[in-house]
Amino acid sequence: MINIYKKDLICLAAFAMTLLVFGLPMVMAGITGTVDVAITSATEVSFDTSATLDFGEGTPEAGGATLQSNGSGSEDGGDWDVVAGELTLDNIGGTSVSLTLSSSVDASEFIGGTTPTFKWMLTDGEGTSCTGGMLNGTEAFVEVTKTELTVCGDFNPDAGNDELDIDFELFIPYDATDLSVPATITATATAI
Amino acid sequence: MKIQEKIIKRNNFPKKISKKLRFIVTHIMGLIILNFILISAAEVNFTDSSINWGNGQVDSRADYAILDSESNSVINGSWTPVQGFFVLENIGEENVSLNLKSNIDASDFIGGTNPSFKWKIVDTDSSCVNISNTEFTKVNTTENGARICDVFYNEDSRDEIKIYFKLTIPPDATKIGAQSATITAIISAV
Repeated sequence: MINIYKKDLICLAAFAMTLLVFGLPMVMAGITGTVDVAITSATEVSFDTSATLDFGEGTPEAGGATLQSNGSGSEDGGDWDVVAGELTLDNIGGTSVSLTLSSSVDASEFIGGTTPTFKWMLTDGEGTSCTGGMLNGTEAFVEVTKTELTVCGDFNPDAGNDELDIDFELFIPYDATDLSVPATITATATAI
Repeated sequence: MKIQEKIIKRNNFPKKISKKLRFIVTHIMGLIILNFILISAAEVNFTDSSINWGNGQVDSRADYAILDSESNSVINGSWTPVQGFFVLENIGEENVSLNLKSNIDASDFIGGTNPSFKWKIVDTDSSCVNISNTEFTKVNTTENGARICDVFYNEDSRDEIKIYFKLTIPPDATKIGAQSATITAIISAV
């Protein structure tokens, strides 16, 4: 009787082992191939093709003239034509960027005379293109800088939310000097 | 007398069980041996097993770049077009069933907004019975993969399929840098 139970135990053990082995799938795997690609982050911003804002010619009155491009545009204290418009900057790359702006000239170099001002202001051109809002006060008119000024910390690449408008305000004093120097605005994008 | 009968019965009962177990074990072992014989005779091989598009980026203002190894084209991207495919051959002595799986899907391979990573099976020699994924189809990353052929023949004149790939890369792809996907063929003896 004892011998029979030993055999049974052996058989049970063997059965368990076979179940374990049999439980393995009747499958052979391990033949593989690979698909490779390398993706470069597209970091790029661009001004729209009509990236020029020209206030034209005029003469300031004694108190000076103020020209603004935002909204429908405005002119006060001179005989300039009203100019409405802005520079539009698109994030045409594939990644969010931090954006800085700089001007080639400051107010004294651009306009001259006594206490001229040359200011910029940024607004979302589409939806919420600048997540977190504009930086360094550029949501309102502030003096341009010749050094790079961070104006947006997270400029989106998403279609429908990837445009920023840059408007300008000039104060032209009565004694402004005609320097005929254009102002060039440079935008620099850095992937974040 | 009663005591003797009980002893006899107790002795016979385990013997019957033992016989049944041995019978079961013997048959299962036979099945396992048969299984191993079949598996040892079943083998497939990728004779072409690499597609590499190299480095590139999505064109400015493009919604997507599309890389297609079948049409040898790259649309809206700077990658070099690659005309290529995997060739999978049944080099074994048995017909097999065939599944394919990828180790990663589009979101892990490319990332960003609505990327896609698809394969397409082409069977020019009628090597495959009940073929599937004959149009570009999202790769399958499940454990068993996608069933491609119920029967993948081993005959010289019909033992081969081709696998093409197509990628859709959005401009906000998050998997920046070199990426690699591994495609695995899984066969079972039939």
